Amino acid sequence: MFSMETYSSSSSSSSGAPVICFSTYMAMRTKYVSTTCEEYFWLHRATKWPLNALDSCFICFSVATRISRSTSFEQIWFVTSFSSLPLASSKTLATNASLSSLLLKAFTFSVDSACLKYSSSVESSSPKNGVTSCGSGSTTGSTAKNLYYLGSSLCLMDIDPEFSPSPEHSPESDHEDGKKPSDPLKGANGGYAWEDEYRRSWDIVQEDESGSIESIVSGLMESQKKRYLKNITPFQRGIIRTMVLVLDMSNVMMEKDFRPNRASVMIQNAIEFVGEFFDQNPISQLSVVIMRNGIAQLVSEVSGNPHDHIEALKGIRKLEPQGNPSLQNALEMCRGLLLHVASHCTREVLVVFGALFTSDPGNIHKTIQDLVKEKITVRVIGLTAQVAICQELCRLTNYGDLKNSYHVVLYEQHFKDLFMDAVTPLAVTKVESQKTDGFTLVKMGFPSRVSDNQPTFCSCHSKAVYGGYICPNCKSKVCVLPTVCPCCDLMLILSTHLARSYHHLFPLKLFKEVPVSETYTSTHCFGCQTQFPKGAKGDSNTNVREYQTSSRYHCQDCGQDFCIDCDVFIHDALHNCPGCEADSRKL
Amino acid sequence: MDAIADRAFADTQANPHKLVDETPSSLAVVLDINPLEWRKLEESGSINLRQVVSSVIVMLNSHLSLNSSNQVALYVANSYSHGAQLIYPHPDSTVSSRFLHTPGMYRQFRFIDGSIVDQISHILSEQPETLEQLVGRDPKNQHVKGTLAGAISMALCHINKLQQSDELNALNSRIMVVSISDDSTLPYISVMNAIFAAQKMKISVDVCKLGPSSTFLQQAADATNGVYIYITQPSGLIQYLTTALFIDPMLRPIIVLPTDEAIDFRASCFITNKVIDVGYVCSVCLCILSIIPDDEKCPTCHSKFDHNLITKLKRKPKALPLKKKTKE
Repeated sequence: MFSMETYSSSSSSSSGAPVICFSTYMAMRTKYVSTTCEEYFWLHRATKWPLNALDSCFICFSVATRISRSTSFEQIWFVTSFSSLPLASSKTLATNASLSSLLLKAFTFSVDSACLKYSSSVESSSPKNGVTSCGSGSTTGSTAKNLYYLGSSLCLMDIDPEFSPSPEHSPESDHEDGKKPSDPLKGANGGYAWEDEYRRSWDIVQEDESGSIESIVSGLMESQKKRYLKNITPFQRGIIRTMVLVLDMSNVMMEKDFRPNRASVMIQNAIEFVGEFFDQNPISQLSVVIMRNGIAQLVSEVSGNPHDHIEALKGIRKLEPQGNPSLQNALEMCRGLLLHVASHCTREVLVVFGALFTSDPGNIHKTIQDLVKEKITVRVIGLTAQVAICQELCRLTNYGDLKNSYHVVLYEQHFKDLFMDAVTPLAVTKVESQKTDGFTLVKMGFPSRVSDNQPTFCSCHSKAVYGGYICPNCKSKVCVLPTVCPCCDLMLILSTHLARSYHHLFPLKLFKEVPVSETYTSTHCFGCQTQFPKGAKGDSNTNVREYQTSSRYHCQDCGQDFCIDCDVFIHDALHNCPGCEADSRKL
Repeated sequence: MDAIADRAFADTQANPHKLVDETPSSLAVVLDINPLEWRKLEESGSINLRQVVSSVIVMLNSHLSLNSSNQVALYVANSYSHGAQLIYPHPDSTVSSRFLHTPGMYRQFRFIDGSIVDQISHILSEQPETLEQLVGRDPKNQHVKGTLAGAISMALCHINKLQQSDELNALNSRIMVVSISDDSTLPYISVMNAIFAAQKMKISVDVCKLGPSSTFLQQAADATNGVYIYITQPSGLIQYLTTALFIDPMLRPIIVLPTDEAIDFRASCFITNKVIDVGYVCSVCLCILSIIPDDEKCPTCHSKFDHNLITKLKRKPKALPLKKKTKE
């Protein structure tokens, strides 16, 4: 446990005023567990430190406590490493991913000799895929094991040839948090995010001439809703997909940064994902694999029936996460599962990776090369921080497109969103389309449903059922769709299954916001017939003007105006412009 | 005396049936007023538009009378000159003074009846001359497309708005379509998009079908847990509307729906617009083709097809996709 003594001793051993401040603060934090405003301000006055710096110290400290409690680490390491941290603002730290990346920074920055000695020993023992051999090198004893667990994240990062081990390189580029992939730490003004000026919402909300704040508040609300804006370029997409979902079930998934723990949140999200995946990609196939105890285990076979997968996922809810994850084993299993997939289907792997290391039996780089050869696309959702091996995996299997393939979860909703992003079929890349000599035309049957008074046997399961679907080719009866007719091998699907994917292929044009003016032509939203606000002058204050809206969104094809709620609904769910559809004239 | 405060006593008051009844619901009716189809129907002598409108008005009124917070909306679709339009509640209309004096009639009913009749007759009166322009010149009326999907989309937008507003989010909604046109007037993709949106929002689409039967509307009703009824006795329309098509969304899980189980799930070909049961599907854009295009390119996404495969498909279309599958 932490105590005042530890900190005072550490601060005296490592020089510099900041560290002393830290130790005072942290000692205080151990005494008062709850955060209070007074405490902050007291420290702010006492130390003359900016508030956000104090905040970051506190967060680092809490991470350190959490990790060291479970691993019985030497606390001094953390304190010394904190002294060299950049002062990130509390805003950027508010998420798990950045917490962990901070922790990592603490590692890489650490000047403690023991740490360096440790990482060098790892390096020497395993030049290629360090962690495995490192694990075998330092075998018994709980401390050694824990060292191995924490050290592994470091050694993977350092050993990878793509990333220089020098400490000044790693904090800027290695710890992306996925939100802004180009350079995520850069803020809106080009500087770092924590250097940005904080915009206070009360500065924006100002009364207009009539003394009302209604218009500006509604403008603020609209700006929040505008986030749906997606890229609407119609891509060629691989609609018929085969995907393997790889879930991390190693003991890091017992972490409680999501409630109740990572594993149950992940499985819950995975169940929702399976439902949504088959809703949007009805003719696709899925399989589920978990990484546990250093091996990959098959949870459900490749199949197009969502119920099988959901049942299987519900089954592993009770399973306790255990052991180390092995990315290589999992990827090899995915290769095996995707081996028979026909050429007109996409081969995809979605990995949820909670750990910062992988414990592999062989060379994972070779596996990655094999995946590239077999055109298997791998996407990774990281739960802790970016890991170099995943970065390489995604870059190589996605033709260098890291932006859309590797993300680290920032908060719980983001986790869900990342899962849902994987529901949209992947766009066919230029490289891929040039390689293939032509696309496949698949013959399919659209059966009709019948209902009989007497049950008859279906040809797929030999069960007596009342209703069923009749194959248009051979007139045999099957009970579930989509399937392949057991008699004539014709692919049988519902036309509604195909139609569900059309909006990916023919996306609706985005509506254009009508600029603020004093008079408008439209008075009502065409979709819901809600009255629009009246025209107003543009405000002189730039802050205010940014949030002033006309509340009208204009479809350029039919010339109708819509409100923000209808706009979001039309582009998110409906995929039809009511204005264009309501116009009886043909274009 | 304490027994009154007992939980068991309080529980009996929260009667589940009462709860079901109290939930307000909104009903959106889409009325197909395709002039040519109505003409055909009237000539066959079964029913005319006037009778249908009066039956629909009775239905709307009875829906309103079930609960004081119930809401109704009426859209028309497939009008040649007006497309799809909202008839009631019309945003511009104010309560006309002649509807205020309503002896012997609930004012709300009078208001609905009056405004619906006014609006529809207004649309129909403009119809003849434009109709001549559109149809007279071109017998196949190539310049007009069906707007049923538009009317359903508008209804969905309206319902979405209702559900988002705080006080009404418990509102149950359903859509009823009175359709007389056949499938050739329906834009396939738009209808399907509207169906899936309704399915996601858990809004049932009921279909009251007069005239030729419609595959897509059958599918719409099936996907959204709605009722599809082909009206065999148009003279008794009002009975269909107030019984089979009057099932509240709350009751749907309990009631056996009077819908047709056997459904035609055939799709429409993107080139010829014919309804087919076996077709070729482009693996890139999933468009359905009944014939293999001559240039071996997908007509929608312009992807080039594998030449070898095409020749195989053309030579022996039934056996060879099978060979292809077993090979890989």
